[in-house]
Amino acid sequence: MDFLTLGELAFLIKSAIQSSLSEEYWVTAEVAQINCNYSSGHCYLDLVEKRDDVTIAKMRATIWASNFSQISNNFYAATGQELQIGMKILMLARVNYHEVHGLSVNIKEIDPRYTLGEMALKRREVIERLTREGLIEKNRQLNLPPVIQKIAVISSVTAAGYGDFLSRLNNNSYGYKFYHRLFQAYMQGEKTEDSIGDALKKCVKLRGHFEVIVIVRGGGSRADLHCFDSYRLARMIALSPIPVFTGIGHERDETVVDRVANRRLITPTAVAEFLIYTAKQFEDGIDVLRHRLITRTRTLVEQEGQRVNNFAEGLRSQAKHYFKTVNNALRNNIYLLQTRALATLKTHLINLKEYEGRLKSSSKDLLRTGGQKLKDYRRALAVHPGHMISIQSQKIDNCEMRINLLDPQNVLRRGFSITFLNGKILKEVTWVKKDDIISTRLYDGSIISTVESTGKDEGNERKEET
Amino acid sequence: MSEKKKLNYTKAISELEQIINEIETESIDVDVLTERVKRAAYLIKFCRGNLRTTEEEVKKALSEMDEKRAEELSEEREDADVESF
Repeated sequence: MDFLTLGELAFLIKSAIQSSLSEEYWVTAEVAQINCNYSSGHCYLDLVEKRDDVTIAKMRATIWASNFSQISNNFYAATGQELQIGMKILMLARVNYHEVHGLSVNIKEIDPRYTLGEMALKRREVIERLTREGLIEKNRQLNLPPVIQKIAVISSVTAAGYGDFLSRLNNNSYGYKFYHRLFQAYMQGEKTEDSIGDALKKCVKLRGHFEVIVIVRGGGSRADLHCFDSYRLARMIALSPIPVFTGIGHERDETVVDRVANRRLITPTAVAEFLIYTAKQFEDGIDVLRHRLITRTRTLVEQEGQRVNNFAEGLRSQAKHYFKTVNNALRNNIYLLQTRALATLKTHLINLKEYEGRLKSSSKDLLRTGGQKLKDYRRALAVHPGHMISIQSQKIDNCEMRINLLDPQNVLRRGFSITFLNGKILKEVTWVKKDDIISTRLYDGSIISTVESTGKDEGNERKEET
Repeated sequence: MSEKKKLNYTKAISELEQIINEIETESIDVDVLTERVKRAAYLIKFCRGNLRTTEEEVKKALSEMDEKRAEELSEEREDADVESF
């Protein structure tokens, strides 16, 4: 029975590979594991191809020290990153078989442009997905308080950036006080993404205590940045109810985490400065208000003082004026009163004198008249009895004479007669007609006669006697 | 004390602005002015003070958190509400 030793089989495999896979091939693969032996300078990797997250091929790979430093430097220069797990690379490779170490791929060259494209593509896809899901601006839309003093820091105690951040924050020249608490996380290496995720969860649990979450890590190094392009981490940050600031220390590329953060600042120091600046801005605002308050208050108080002074001044001059006026008026009134009183008094005095005079003269007259009358009465009384009698007897004589004159006897004596008809005195001629018997009375007797005729006088009617 | 609890920067600054606008735009009685200025001075003191002094409550809360929450957090890590965000 023929048989081969293992070495012979290995030799056969090696020969077969060398004859049929002798060329160098450009191959794409994902880095699943990478280890650099710093003493030898060789780099050992595990390469995989995944389809729908299932590994469909896996191979070991080596980069010899003679190639590695150049490959590594080129790669870093182009991508800003070290070769690391999860990266997709395009490499120039030769298949190698070693009797003891087995099958491996020796990498001669790596084209970093492929990785860059892959990274950019992946990042773009993540950003597009976050945009599609409405998450990309979500954290940015959170309002910041006017002053941010309660800070949850996600970093590593050993990270250089953390120290920078704290010293900048705590030694601010304004003496502002900040409260900060560290939520420990790996900031490089394969655990970075998960540990930052865990730290974020803790912060969110304690959301009432913090106004901001800052993710800081040392500046300068660009290693392990790809985890900040992770969809999972970006989504957590987007959905954080607390605003997230980043200071993950790279200047050129904006990671997806930066993109969804409330504020992206380049370095941890810049984050601290932003926080100090915010407080300063607030205090400056307060100072402006304070200044306005003081100015305005001063103005108001001065105005009020001026107003009071003006008022007092006005009051004084008005009072002065008023008293002057009143005084003048009083003086005038007194003068008027005096002159009027004097005039009135004078008038009254004159009147009084006049009355006195009149009283004197009228009483004199009265006395004189009275006296006269008395005298007259006395005189009259003295002559009265004889005089009175003679006057009265004259009057009586007069009356007697007048009466005698009126006595018809006397009239008759002078030749007048009276005619009667039927005993009545006949005064008009018309009262008698022919044959009437009339009696005519004379002084010493009567005549009885019959009327012959009557005729009227032109003036007086006259009777013709027969 | 209760007012101090309620008062924060946002409230303080908006009240301060309101007071200043009031005394700048309206003719104000001197008595009222005094009262407003007192209040404004208090608010300014509050803001400037809080920027610089250690607030005991916060200190206490933060230190309690360090001791207590550390263990809790490791247990609660898988909590639904946190997981969901």
